[in-house]
Amino acid sequence: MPKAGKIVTYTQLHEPLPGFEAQAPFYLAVVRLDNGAQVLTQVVDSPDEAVKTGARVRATVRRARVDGDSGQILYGYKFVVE
Amino acid sequence: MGAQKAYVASVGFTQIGDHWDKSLLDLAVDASRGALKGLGGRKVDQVIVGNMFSAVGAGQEHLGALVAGALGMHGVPAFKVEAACASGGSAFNVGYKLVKSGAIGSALVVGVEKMRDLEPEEASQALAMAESAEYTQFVGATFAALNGLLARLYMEREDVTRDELSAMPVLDHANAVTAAHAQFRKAITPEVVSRSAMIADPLRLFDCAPVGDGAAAALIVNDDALSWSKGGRAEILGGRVATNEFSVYEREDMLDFKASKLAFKGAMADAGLSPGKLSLVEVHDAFSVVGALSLEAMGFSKRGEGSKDAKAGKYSRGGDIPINTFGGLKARGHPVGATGMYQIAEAYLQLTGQAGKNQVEGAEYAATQNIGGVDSTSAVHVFGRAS
Repeated sequence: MPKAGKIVTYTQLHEPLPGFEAQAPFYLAVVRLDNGAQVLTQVVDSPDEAVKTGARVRATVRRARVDGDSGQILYGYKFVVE
Repeated sequence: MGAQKAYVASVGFTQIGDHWDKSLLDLAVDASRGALKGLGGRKVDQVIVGNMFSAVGAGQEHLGALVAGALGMHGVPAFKVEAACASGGSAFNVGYKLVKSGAIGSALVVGVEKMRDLEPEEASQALAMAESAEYTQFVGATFAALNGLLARLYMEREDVTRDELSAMPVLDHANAVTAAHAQFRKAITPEVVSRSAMIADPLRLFDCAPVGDGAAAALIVNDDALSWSKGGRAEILGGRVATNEFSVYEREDMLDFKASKLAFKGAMADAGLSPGKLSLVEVHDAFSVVGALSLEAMGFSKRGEGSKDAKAGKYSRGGDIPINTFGGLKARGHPVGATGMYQIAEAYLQLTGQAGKNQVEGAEYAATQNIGGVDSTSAVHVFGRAS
């Protein structure tokens, strides 16, 4: 899978699921990768004004979620605006 | 027996809202007893329960035998049908097909959901189970988030304004004012929607259907069983369930609700009706944008015109084709596994002239559209006034 693509649409989520409270509000986007595949991902470490439809983004590895105070740390992909 | 005619012979339902004093089973029994009223404890051939997340919401599974037993229908086959928010419509579809095919003569279908015992974020998590655990829940997406993504795409691509998007919730609330079973019986303005709290930008609180407890039931019968059923009847003229590519973000065209399109087309073909014949449609508007895209998928509005048509009054009481005649998901309420059955109960009330102040005059044909996920499943049924 290519590691870069562009934002098809995005939202900023204010009411998160349990386990994601510390990250809220956060951006979620549908990213169309350069091979045409579409993924749902968080967009992080990017200024608000940069998160917009059509923006180029690149995949990076980030902490996805922590299961409680002493639980597992889960890692996953998130995207950053280029 | 070969193919039979199938009818809804009676319905029952609870008011939607906070039922702190009732269990999941209490609600299912209340609605079922309403549908079985006057039948003197007669057994049906099949009990089917539509429900999405009783395991999470009430710590209860095995709903088929549980509900059948509580109704005194020992020995009767019974099971639960689950298809997320389309559980009610899907359960009904199974009952309809069993009766229609001649396999059985009667079925009680009851949709039930208990959501208010959960904290709001727990309810979000339970609803999120309708999406992929590995790819959707894992990144922290709620259903509001998925529909926020869809709403932005819809507004940007089809040039839809905030006020146009608000037309659907405004319509729902207007229709619910006189609906006794509705969760919110209060009219609102577009400003109420546009000033409500941001949930998943651009979707605000009043774009989203509420969380509530409720149950709704219908008795399905063939011609033979009509002799012992009571009350008016509406014929079930067609009914289909269809699925789409599972996750909305994987679809080439996210704004195309292919499951609803397919289910509606099939159900209308079953019925031998053209859409123009419908007197009303109960539309699954769990979010304002979902209502608009549903109307477009079923062909009532052209692409990009669903919200605009709603704002212009096309779908209001007295408009070309009234929708959500008791308030739809936003104002009547959306106890998820029960919603499809509320829609069917409402279509029945309309076609049997029992809709009171919400009556669509001269209603002859009605359709109901019940979605699970973001159009991952769609259950559509078409009903006609029985002569």
